[in-house]
Amino acid sequence: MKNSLWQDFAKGVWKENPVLVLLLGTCPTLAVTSSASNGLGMGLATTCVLIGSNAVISLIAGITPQKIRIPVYIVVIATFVTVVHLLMQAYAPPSLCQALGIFIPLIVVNCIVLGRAEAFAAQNGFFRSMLDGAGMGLGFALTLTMLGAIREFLSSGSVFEVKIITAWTTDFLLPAAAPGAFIIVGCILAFKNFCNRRKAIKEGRLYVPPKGLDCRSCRICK
Amino acid sequence: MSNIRNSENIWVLSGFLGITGIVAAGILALVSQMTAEPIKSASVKAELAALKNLNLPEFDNDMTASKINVNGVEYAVAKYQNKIVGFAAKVSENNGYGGKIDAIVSFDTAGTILAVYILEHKETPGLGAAVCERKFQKTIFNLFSPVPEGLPSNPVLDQFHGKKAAPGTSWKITKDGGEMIYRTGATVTSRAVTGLVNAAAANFTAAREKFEQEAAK
Repeated sequence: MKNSLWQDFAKGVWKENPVLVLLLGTCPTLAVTSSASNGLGMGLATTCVLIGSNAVISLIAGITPQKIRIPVYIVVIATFVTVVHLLMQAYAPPSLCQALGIFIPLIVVNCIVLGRAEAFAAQNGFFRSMLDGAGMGLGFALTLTMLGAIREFLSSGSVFEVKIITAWTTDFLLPAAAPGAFIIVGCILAFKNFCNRRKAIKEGRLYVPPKGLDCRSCRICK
Repeated sequence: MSNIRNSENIWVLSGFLGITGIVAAGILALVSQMTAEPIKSASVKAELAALKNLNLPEFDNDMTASKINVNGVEYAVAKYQNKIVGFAAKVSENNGYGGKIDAIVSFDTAGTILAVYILEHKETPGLGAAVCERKFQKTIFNLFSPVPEGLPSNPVLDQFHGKKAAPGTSWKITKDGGEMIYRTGATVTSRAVTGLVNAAAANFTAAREKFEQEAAK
């Protein structure tokens, strides 16, 4: 059964959120979210790439030889990333460009983009693929902005570089540094799974974690 | 179409990948040409914004166009009615806690330091970065009031303002027996910034003769 168009779009935001459920793209998630504005910038850049690459790949998937589909997809994705990078250098505020630095070119190897190309765009039509890209991108951007805002607030009492608690003068460094990012992402993941479990129990179902996250379906340590 | 999709013929495969690459390269060439001009003007604009914030006396020339290179340091010269009124030296230092620190140090004609402005750094947020950054802190109470003009203050960088670059002068932080205060937890960065200003001052004293020749022309 095919999803409705709305479901194609909305699943990326919560049900199949790329960071919180699929656990893809963890590197930029942890690295650039030291402030809310950095997270938002990274999320929007990735969204643009996702929409563009999903659209083009859905068009060419039918004629792409199966043997070389991955290199072809990567060329498409890399083209979009470079275009976004050039546009950002030209029109985005210089401080944002400097903060995101190397992570914009690295969207090429972001698992979310290639993952959606393989899992969705290659099997679905043009319009649905764009919706999927937009939804996944929006989910990614929202998660990154939220994470950035939490980290920024816990370390200096400000959000989007605006001080909320004016008396907070000395920065608390843990949330702004890498270990803090891991701790906070862990807390958010736990919260997401708690919500899923509660919903399942309310509906009288047995809670089953997503397959990739479930220990029983993992064969690495067996 | 399905015979292309399932093809294993090496010529079909390489041809398809080649065509994809050529199309991608064409698109990139187009976009790169379209954005070349805005990227250039954006970087000039950023440089101009930095130069405006250097406490330099009033000047009427285009500082980005009047540059002199002396012993590897680039000076932008500020002129007012064709007379030199100040200099902005672009210096960098590799001994920061996170590596390279780029800065502009501005001087007046007598060699007095007017401002120290860090352009780029990779110091620890909250510690080293606090030594390098000049920022107006917006709070929830003055969110919509306009940003005040001029150079935001920074206690470590501001103490160099008004100091005179003379042959043999070298500033040190108090921990190393000097007089410059530093930030606890950011000794390495404070040392690097002090070294940066020292290097700029030393280069400037050596370069002054050259400027005087230039001015006589």
